Amino acid sequence: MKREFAYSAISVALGLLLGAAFLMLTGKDPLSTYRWMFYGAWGKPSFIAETMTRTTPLIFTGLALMMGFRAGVFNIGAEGQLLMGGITAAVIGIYVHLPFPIHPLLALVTAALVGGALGYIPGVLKVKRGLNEVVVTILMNYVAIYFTNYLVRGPLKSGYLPRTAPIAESAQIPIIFPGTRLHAGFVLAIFLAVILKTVIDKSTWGYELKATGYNPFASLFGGIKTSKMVVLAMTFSGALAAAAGAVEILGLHHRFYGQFSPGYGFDGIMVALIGRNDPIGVIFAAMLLATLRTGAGLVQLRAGVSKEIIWVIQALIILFVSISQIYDMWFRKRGEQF
Amino acid sequence: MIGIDGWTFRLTLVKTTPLLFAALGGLHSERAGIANIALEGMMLTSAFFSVVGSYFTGSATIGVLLGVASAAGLGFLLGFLSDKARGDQIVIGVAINLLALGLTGYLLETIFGHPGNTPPVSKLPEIYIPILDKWEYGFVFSGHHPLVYIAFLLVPLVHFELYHTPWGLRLRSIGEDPKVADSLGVNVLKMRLCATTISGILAGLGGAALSLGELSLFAERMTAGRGYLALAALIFGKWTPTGVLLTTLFFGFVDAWQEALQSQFMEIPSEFFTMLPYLFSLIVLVVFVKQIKPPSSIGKPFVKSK
Amino acid sequence: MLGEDFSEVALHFDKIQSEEFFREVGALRKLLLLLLALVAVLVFPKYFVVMVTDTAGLGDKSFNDSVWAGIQKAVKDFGIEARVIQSMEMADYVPNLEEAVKSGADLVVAVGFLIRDSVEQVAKKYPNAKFVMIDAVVDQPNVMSMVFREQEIGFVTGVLAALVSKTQKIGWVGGMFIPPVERFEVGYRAGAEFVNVNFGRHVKVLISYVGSFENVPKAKSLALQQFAQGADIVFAGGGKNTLGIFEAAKEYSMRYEKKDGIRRFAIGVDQDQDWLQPGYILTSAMKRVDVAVYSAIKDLVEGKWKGGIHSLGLAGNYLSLSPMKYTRQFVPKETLEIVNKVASMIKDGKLYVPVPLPKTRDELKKFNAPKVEF
Repeated sequence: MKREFAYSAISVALGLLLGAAFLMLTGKDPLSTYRWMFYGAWGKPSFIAETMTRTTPLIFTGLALMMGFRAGVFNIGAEGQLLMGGITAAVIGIYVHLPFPIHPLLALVTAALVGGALGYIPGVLKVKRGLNEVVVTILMNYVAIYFTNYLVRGPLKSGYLPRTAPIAESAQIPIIFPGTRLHAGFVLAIFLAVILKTVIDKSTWGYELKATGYNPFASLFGGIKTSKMVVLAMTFSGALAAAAGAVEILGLHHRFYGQFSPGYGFDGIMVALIGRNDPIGVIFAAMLLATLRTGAGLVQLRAGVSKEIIWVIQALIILFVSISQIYDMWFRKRGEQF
Repeated sequence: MIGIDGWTFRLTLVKTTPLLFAALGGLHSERAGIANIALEGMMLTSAFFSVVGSYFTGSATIGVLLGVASAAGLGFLLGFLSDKARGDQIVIGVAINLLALGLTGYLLETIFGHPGNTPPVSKLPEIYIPILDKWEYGFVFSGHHPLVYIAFLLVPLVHFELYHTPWGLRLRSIGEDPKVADSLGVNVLKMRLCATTISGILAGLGGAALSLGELSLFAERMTAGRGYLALAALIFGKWTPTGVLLTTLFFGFVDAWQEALQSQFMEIPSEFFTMLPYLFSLIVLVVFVKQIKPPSSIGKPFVKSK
Repeated sequence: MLGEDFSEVALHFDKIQSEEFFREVGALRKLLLLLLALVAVLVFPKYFVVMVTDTAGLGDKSFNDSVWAGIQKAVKDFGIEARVIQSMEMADYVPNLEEAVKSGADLVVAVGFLIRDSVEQVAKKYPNAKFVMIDAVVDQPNVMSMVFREQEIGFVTGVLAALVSKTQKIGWVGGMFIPPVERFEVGYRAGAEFVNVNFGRHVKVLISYVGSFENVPKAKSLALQQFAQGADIVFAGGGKNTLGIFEAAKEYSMRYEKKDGIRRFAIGVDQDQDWLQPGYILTSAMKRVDVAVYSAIKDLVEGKWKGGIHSLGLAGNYLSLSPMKYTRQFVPKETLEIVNKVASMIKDGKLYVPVPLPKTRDELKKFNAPKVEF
């Protein structure tokens, strides 16, 4: 595992290096770009808090995708589950009246249940009917996008903008550093990652999950109910993705906006992959992406580089991550001296 | 039915074309055992470079060639990284999609001096079929840009290629069991590389059909998820050329139909109609499709045993 | 690192930078620098304007681009300095606005209705910073909100289209159903109704929405559908979509104009887009956000800037029809006279005061087009 993380680190370095070359090629100064990016994300306590705020949804969706990958399924529907989770949390936050700690908890749990159901359906369809989860969840994404957009345009619209009413104050996830936007959702994300790490590494369930993803047929002969594992993984994946949406609404935006997610569900794919499908890895990968994005503001303002460069750098990093088998071969060739 | 007229069918063909190209592209790669979620990125890249080619040479044909070449390059990259570097195919696909998004956006600003969209360039000509033009509904089939005809002609061609040529037999066999194919002397790695490159070429034609066929310009993110839809159609169509034709046509038709309905029921929020093609596909999939079995070796890198 | 940033510190009194800076350097150097900064400010009293876009960003061929054009003009005319931050996601809005404030911007220009709630939040937090909010209202003393009465120009466009239409059917293909777009739409529909009441026509309006501002191929096919359903004029309601709708007008005309003698038109929006498909764009309903933002910067430079809500309309030419350079021959002189009369009635408040033009679909249902003598 340690070696795997090293490969991710190498990939990040190579991605940044190639990104620098690309910047130079198009006549920009890579040093000042990176300096402002890093400063914008980690240069001051308030910037750090902002980066953590951005990390939060990415950890959730990263964990969601990780659950799927662990069992060998690809939950590309995280985006739709996230939107449905967000709208569910908003509805509970607006229309249900409860005292503080129970209110956000209920909103969160209900959202997770809805997301779980949305993960369960494609999971069952896969094991019972052989329907590929990718096609089912891609279609479900579109339905969720248009459905939530319809809700904020019609029945749930508040004021003249396409958004819901604000959630009750009792439903808000509290800010943990006054003066910043960093809310307790971040702590929850870290907490969940640590729990998942323990469960996956230490419990038989975690072992069965891994075995299912690694070799379904062998697992079947080994007495593991692979189809049950696939359904479970999809359900948990959906629940985590929906929790991402709920936490964003309850902790950050305090209302549901039709376009609050720039595709956190799809970002989860990247996060899980850079994090090597390990919960702790996911935390670091989410921080990396959040660094690039939080830093993007200053990159544009100070270095005068357009925001698209962030996409290019992200893509290059992923590309290097995807070929880390090569590093593996390279290390082995150099002998086992280390 | 309400809202259906000749134009619904004409637009069905127009809407089906890019999806069909991309799905047929995906078919080549996935039949050879390489999962291809990079169709979206390949289409977007080709849509962009087609316009770049047409802009600088004034020839739409050269534009299409440049676009297709760029997407073929991505296809080659997918195959190369999947096998030579033994990368995870899904990861590489994600990376290619992101790269396409970033590169087209960044280069758009660098080459044309302003972001968002390119100026109009010369587009592909419309081809009229004289016999059809005399018929009242001839316009459904006549007067499309050449890529529309090519897309539909490709279906029987790909069918023949897949089921009636030695190449097709080998392609299917490496998708089912590369080890057996290898032991029978098939050059698996080379074939898979060819298959992903073809996949890039076809998806590239789909992208060019959007930017130089339907339109005459490139706008950022203009593929708007069509690559993912094509992937869904491919799986839905059970990885066969006829299946893919039917599913993309079905999708194109429902989409064209809901567009016609939208302007007739203007009091119903438009999101409801826009949602319909996806909801219909989902329902059809869940209700009618019994079993789908993907090519067995899909997703796994091939390692030649020594 | 310090040397490089120095000029920026001096010019913009960069608060973040200078704070860190001063902790690092000694008192003497601090004094020297302060003096230098003072000299720099006295010699070059440059204003610094930062624009923060919504997620659509520049290149939308719509208001983001237009606002930036207005700022660019101000850069030329007043020698100010300007930068743009394009937001990548909704969570960016607050930090980007704060960053703009902290970079020492004299004026922060926020564009797009979705960024509204964030502007309110940041404006409260920094009561000394100045904001211009385009396309939405933020009721704060340090925010100059500039909203447009799109229904007015929509109405005029609707009158023109309904009079010019030979098939008595006109269309509208919008991007997303958001307030400014809705105001355009209902104004357009009310304009058509006005023509029906006053000129005994039976013009029907077809309405479709793309569901995004950037799905150009879909916009084209929606417009083709409307032409096929008998509309001969389609209003392109915003974003990059307009480009697809223009192509649809041209394609449909090329195919059918020879047979039935009817030219199909699109109508452009936000900027003068007539040149994009000459002869196939009847006119453009221009929304001069560039003029609006330019005047805000002018106020700033002349020391007259103050917060408040500015509702901009046909009066003052913040909204107007394009000069129709390529399509004059398709519009009879009498029609133009009627359109001009309607426009000037709205400007003078004659059509507005007795019968307010509708702003929302709900108001449209209650709208009864007034009888006017022509």
